[in-house]
Amino acid sequence: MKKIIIISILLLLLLGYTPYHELNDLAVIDVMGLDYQNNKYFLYLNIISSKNKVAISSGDSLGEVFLNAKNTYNKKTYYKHLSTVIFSTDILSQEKNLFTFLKDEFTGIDYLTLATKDDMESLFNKFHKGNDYRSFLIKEKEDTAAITNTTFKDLLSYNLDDLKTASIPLIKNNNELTSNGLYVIEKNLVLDKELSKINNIINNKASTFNEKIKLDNKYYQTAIYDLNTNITYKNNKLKVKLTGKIDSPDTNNLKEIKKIMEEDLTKDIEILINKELTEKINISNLINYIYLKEKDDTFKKYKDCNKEITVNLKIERKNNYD
Amino acid sequence: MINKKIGLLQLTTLVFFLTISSFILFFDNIIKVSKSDTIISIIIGIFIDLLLFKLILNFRKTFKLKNKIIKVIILLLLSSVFIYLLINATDFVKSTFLTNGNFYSIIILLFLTCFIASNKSYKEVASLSLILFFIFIPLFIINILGSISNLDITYLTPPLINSNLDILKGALLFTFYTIIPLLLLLFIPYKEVDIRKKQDKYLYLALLIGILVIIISYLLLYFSCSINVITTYKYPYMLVLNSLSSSIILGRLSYLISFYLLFSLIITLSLILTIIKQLMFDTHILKLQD
Repeated sequence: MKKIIIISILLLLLLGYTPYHELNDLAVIDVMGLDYQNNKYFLYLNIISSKNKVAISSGDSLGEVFLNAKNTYNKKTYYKHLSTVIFSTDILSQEKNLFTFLKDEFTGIDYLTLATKDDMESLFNKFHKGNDYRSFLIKEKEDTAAITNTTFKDLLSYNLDDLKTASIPLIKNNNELTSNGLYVIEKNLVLDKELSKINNIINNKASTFNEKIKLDNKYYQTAIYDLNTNITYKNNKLKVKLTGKIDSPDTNNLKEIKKIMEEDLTKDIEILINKELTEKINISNLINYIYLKEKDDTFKKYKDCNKEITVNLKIERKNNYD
Repeated sequence: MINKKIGLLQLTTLVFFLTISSFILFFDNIIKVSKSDTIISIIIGIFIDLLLFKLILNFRKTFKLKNKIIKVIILLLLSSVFIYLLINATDFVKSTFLTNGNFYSIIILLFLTCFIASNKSYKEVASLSLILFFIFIPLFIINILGSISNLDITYLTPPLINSNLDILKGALLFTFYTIIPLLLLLFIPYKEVDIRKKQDKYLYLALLIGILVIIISYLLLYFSCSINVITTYKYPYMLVLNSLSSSIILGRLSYLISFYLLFSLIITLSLILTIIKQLMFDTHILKLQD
């Protein structure tokens, strides 16, 4: 009996009854770009299985554009290895069903998402390989903390959440890829690099960055690392406490630099909070701490509450180049 | 002399897999009802579970199927449950792992796997569950470690946002999904287990460990994305596994490791098949009566 069953399993698996795809017949995509120009949708695809060839498809709707791209260069387009998707700010502000479409049509949700205000065609012609974006993200995260890995799952989560406001890292094509801050989708608003950096620090998504500080007509390259944010809300008082370490290879006397850095970070947090209150957005998630205690009129309480911001940086040597 | 009794540890792991068997397939129904208060529903459900489990364990000691008509009804019921679970399991496998696969190939493969596992008696299914348990635990720990970096405390919401009725409905659903598979224990004869006296304690422990695994899995899911996203997916636990690919485990390996989610389904289906076989051929019940 068992032999009959095992033979039937083997026959089932080996006789080709289970469908398969030949790798040479697939156009494997790893980077995708979506744009909206002159009432038309454009799709840019980077095919890694064809030596990073670029395929462009256009249509009057998202459905049409993906249908036209179903076969690229006579091969079936295969999206399961998708690693990065770049949206233009035009399509993000124009197409309200974009995220629902991507959620329903693709099974994977762990690909990285970025946005750009630049011309998508010129950006994609220059930077279309997966490695370009991977190396850019690693470098930018360590240097400026202005960018974090925002996957489609995070983006969908922020978009559908009742409290959060969906935001996506913005990139710019300046002969090399650079971070350009944060794009708030709902309000078609751009937050600059400094606000994006402080937002990532408050959300504990970035813990290190480098900054050039000018003091007495001299520049000092400073490394701020091991950053940690602690947020509490109690008795109508919102406390934001930021701790970390500071080091500069350009000087041994860091007291003045530490003071400047602490003031800058405090000022940046205040600017971010004011921006959130004026634009009625929730990027820093500080309002979530208030929501845990006060379910009603949360935004009003966020506006009226006392805000205490403390930044403490400890001077500690760090070996940067070994 | 070969020991023909079911080992206590084997039975414990069997109960563990029965407890978690409906988690991967049907948990989304609980989350859709009680939304962000699902954890409160689970806590209420645990108390109802413990009470009902006590009744099951007491009833098990004196359970005997004598009436032929009742046997036929139970047989038909178990067969329909088996077919329903098999179709749902195939749908899960097809939509998460083998999206381009043939539905009927997958159903045949799953059925044949369970058929071979249920070839002999309860002892073999219980031994299989013991082996799978030792594979399940390290893979589950890898899952937890890989998902920890993607947790976001800001997804925490205040308790009791949803109505009390919804929370109670969620609790009853949770009890239903955890207790129904445990009713299969009634068919495993009480006297056929090694070390009979300690049985109850170990089985309670298995139930609690199973519920703990469900709670940990739910918390990993709850803190990884918004509740409004979780309610839109049929198999929301795969959202947690998707994030593994960016941390400890690279690339597609996260899907390979996630096959441990199928263990509880295979054990439950194999056990149902074994019970159906035993009821049809009637050998086991007769021996106990002697």
